[in-house]
Amino acid sequence: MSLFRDRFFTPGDSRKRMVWFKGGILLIVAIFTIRLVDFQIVSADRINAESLNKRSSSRVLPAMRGTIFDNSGQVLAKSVLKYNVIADPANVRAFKKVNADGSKVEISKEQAAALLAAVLKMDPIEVQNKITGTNRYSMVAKRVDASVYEEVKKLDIPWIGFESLASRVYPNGAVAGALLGWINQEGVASAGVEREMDECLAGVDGKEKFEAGRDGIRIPTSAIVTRTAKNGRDVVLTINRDLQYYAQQVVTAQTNTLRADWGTAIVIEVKTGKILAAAEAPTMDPNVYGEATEAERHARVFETAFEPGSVIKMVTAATLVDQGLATPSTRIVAPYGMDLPNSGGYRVTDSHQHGNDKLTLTGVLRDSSNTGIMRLGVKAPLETRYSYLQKFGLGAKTGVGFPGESAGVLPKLDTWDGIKKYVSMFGQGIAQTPLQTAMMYQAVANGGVRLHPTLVEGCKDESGKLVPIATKPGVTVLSPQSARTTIDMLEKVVEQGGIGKTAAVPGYRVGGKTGTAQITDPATGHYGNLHAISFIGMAPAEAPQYVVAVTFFKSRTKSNSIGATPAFKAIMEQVLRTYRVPPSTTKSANIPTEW
Amino acid sequence: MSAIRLTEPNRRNTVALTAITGGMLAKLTGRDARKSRAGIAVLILFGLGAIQILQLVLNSFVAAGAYQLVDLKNQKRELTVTQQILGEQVDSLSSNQNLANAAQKMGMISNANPVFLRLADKKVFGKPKAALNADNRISRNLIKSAVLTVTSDLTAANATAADATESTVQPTAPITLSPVTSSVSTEALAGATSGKAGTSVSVGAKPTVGAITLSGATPKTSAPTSTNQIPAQPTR
Repeated sequence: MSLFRDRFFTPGDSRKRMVWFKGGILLIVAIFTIRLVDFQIVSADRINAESLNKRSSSRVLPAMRGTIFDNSGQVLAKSVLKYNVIADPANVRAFKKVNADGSKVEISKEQAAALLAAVLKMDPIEVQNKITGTNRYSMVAKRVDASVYEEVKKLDIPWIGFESLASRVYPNGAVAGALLGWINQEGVASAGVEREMDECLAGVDGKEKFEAGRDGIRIPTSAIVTRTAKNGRDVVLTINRDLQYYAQQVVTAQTNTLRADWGTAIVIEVKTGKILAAAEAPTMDPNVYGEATEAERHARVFETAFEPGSVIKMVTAATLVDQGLATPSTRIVAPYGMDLPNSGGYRVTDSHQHGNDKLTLTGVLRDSSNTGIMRLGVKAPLETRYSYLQKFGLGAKTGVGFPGESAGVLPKLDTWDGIKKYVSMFGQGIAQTPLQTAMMYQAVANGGVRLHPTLVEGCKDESGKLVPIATKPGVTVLSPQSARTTIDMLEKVVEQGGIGKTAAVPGYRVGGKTGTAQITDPATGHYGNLHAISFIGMAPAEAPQYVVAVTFFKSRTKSNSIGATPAFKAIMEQVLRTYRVPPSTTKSANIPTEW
Repeated sequence: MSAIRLTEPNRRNTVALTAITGGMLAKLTGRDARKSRAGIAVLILFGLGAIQILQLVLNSFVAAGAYQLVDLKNQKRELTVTQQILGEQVDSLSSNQNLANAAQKMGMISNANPVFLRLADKKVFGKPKAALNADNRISRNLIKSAVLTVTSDLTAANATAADATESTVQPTAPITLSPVTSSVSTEALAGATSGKAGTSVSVGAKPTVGAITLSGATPKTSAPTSTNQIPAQPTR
């Protein structure tokens, strides 16, 4: 030890001490230098990143979904902000509130819960439970409206916060409800136009990242990484909101009167194939889609196919005329009942008792005679009739693009047995949607050219200009002369038909056809006692502009289309008024119906 | 934990300062040189101090601006919320359902039997029937809406209607075929809607030839002329 002391700390040897002192200083400087180099160069990036991470704050900038408009600019669906009311139970305590006069009043936890419950229309006990605990997060109320959010905010409760989230609102409730579809809680377009046009309507969320101080305020000049939110684009439909509402009112009222399972009504603009109204009842309010039944969530106009019944007799008659196999005056004797050949004794009767009626083809349509249409229909080869059914759109989707649209049922020709060969002439053994039926009549009304129906006018681009949806060219089904002749025959149904007369619109020439279709009972596999009753018509018949098709499924108070004609008449009148269609000035063609 | 990294601009400034002062010092000697060096040093210190103070002031302004920005953003958010609340109220008031309900409360009835008048030849189409005929009449709203949060306040409207009742004559005259000068038909409420649907409003003495308007069994001869007035009594 003394050797060490003697060697290194010899008293009086100042030169050595200075050397050691300088050496120590150099060592310390070297250590600091190394650490400095480490901080400033070697680990600088990592340290900076850690620091930035602690200071930085980021948030999602929600993109708003596009608006859905009707054809006159009325809003059918739009996006708004809704708010989740959240609490911080760990910090729930009494607080002081400043009154308007500046005085302070202490609000206890229980009082605050009662105030919240009153604004949120909740049970105070439920609110108490939600704000009690040691958690830092508790959901008090989900998706409240902006007005409720404002009221809660005014309570100025320090341990209550909010989360804003984009939500969908349908200002007209159930008007075109199933047609529009809905957005589920996860923000996914689940049905209807919302789903069909999701690519146009959906936006892309943005993101903002910046450095913030302890108080959450952004540090000036700090770097911001921002991805701007890209809002969705707007969609314009062909639907007329007011007409849709009116049609829906009529269908709802008549469905209730008939105590039917459901009813539908469609309005088609003949020259464009635009769907102006597609109403149904009962239907859903997309604002509360969770309350709707499974059946109500589906747009039956597009999705539900059923045996159409006698409305198909128009197709059979048009086929005969177009093929030159019959004229409106072609005579036939129509018995009350007829045994079908090669059917094992299957008998078809008319809906009402009668003797051997001497009818023309027009008379067959007027009386909706099953036996008459079969006796005339057999003149056309089966393959020809089948190809006309195809050309009229049966068995294929209409091209409207609606999610879940049904193509209907047109069994392959080689599967048609002896019965189907005959009953298909009056709408049995095949199935189609209300829209398909309406488009068959549109084809006739449009000079024999069946258009593809459109529900969406287009999607607006970023500049707000409407980009129309491309539509396929129409399909020529009949010659213009045959189409005209068919309309002339349909006019007689409304002019002279026992039921058809009730569909007449004063002042206008109207052509149309009744339909009373039997419905197969799934339990027995046979036709039951209830019917699908329809009336499809066009006006003004001299130059048709609009087709209206109404159907009521499983009508219980009326067993034939007398239950459908009042709804047809009311809607057609409203359509003609809405679009200012001048009354007819000419008379219908003079065609014999009997002989 | 944070670290400040030496930056390139500082090194450049040091080099530039050395170059300037070095060049000047090289030309001076003795007492003058000492005076000049002291002056330059004071100048530099003063300059640096001024820069620091300026930076402090600027930072204060920028920081204040950041708080102002937050305030403005909050204001914008509040205004957006207010706009949304007002928008929802307008949507509710202009919805088909509210209009139908309001019309019903005011006693207006849609006429299921409209009559058409062709102005070109003054021809009437259809048989006039009173609106009270219940056939096919749907006067109450049947379509539900969960967002019908605000409904029309009819207090003022009813007062106006009551006033109008006292001064309105209800004739039982036959249908007037002359051009309609100002007729507001309650048929508008057949659709119970706004816009074109169901409305039949024709104003002016020179109606378009071929235009269609609705007529009825008991037309009012003293129909309100004010566009905002409500008919005293439902007549069709």
